[in-house]
Amino acid sequence: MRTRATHELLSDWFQSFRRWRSPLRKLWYLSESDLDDVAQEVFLRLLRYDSVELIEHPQAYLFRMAANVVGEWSMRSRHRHPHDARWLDDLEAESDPEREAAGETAHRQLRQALGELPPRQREVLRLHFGEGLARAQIAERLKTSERSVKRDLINAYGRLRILLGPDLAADPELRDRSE
Amino acid sequence: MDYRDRRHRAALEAAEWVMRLHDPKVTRSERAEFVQWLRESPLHVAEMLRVSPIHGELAAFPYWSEIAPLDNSSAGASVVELSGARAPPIKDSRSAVSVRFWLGALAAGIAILGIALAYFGDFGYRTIDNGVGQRLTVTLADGSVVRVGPETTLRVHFNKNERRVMLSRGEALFRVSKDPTKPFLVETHRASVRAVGTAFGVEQRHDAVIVTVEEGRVAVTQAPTEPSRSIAPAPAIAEIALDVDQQMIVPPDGSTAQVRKVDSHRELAWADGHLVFDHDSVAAVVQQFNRFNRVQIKVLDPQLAARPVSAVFSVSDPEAFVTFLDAVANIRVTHPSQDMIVISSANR
Repeated sequence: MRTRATHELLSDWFQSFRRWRSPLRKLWYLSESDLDDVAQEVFLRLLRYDSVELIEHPQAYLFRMAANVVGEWSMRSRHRHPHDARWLDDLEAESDPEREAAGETAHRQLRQALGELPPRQREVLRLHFGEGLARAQIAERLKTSERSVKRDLINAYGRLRILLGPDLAADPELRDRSE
Repeated sequence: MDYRDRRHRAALEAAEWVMRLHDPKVTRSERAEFVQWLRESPLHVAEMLRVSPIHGELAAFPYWSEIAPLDNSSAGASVVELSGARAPPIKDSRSAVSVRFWLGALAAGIAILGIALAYFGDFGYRTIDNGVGQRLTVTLADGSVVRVGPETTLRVHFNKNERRVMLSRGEALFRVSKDPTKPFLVETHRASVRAVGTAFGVEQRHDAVIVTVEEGRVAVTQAPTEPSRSIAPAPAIAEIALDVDQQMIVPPDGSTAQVRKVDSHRELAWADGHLVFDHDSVAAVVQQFNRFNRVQIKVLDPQLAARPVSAVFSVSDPEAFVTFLDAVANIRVTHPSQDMIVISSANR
């Protein structure tokens, strides 16, 4: 019964994820500073937006807003600097072969990053995403507490964020701080 | 708190939110709390936008079956468990994959067992000796992983009662696989660190010993003041417990060790291939790069050497540091040989 529910859930969220995957992946290829600019604009919009609406589907609104900001900026910059918006044009690329290639690159990067995780964090991710186990089941399997499984998951994300993120050394804000 | 620390913290919070929001039992008040959190800082928005795709990519990753399962002594048991009705495949097409997967897992298990036997057979003792610029990640027979830094020597000795590592110089990060029946001991000439299942770094620097805990808890025993003939831990000296994000520095003169709070991610970032500097002098940065790389950097004038730097670099990229310095300071760079970079202030 329980596993069934888990699977339904999982497929639910695969669906919602599929809808957002493409805009999210676009964001992923932004440099640290470009993404911070997008985040700043989204942040301002979030402050203005109606709370009741937001609370109903916070993630959907967040991703939509981010996608909109990127879209608007790409249009504006194409008018202003026709040759200076390569990354934005890249983001616009919607043709299937290109998207597939981007997908393969992402898989390859992810596989490499997974290899660099501590074995235990990798195992928790594998059980969760590869075998579709819920946290409680993972805890049972690894003979540990649910809390520690959750911790492993969070730490794994934090580490993947660093391993997969663009080079932080190129971050202008970090540069400024050393002045 | 440092900009990068804040960023890292925000990323972990974002990860937690991603998980909470995907929980079917997420309540309206939790969603409201999430919106509030987003509205606290653009940094939260940015990290949420960074971490969410990771979740998506993990869910869409098609090669999970090729990721080897963790090698536990209970590997056999988990095969039996899955063949039961515990986790029915979502679609029919998946059952074929899962058979193949378990055959693969079984093969991997046997291979790992073989490696484990090789370790015990050929290397009852195993010595790792890294020179300048060398880094190494080793999986030990018990599944523990050791990241060994440059200019580091350690000796691994496992028997049926304990797992023992002698660190005679340098630094290493240990991710210890859990085994309550066999304590994991890291010994240096000044202190001995005992763990059961946790992650921590040990470094010998200028005769002092630095222990940093990233996960779990370890117990540190300081060696007796008079130089002992063996490296065996001193008898009847109190153990000091260290928790997450605590660091203990055992001074060379045998005086009482200090425990302080640190950001373990920053302290142990070298193991992930990063060097993190926060108001460290150019001289200190150069010293770190020179330890990790064959290419050596030399700083000519003391003024430049004393200049503070805050940034994150890839350990293996001294050129990036030089480029960075060139961007923020007025410097002159020369390459007298292939393995040497000399920098000095340009205005002299």
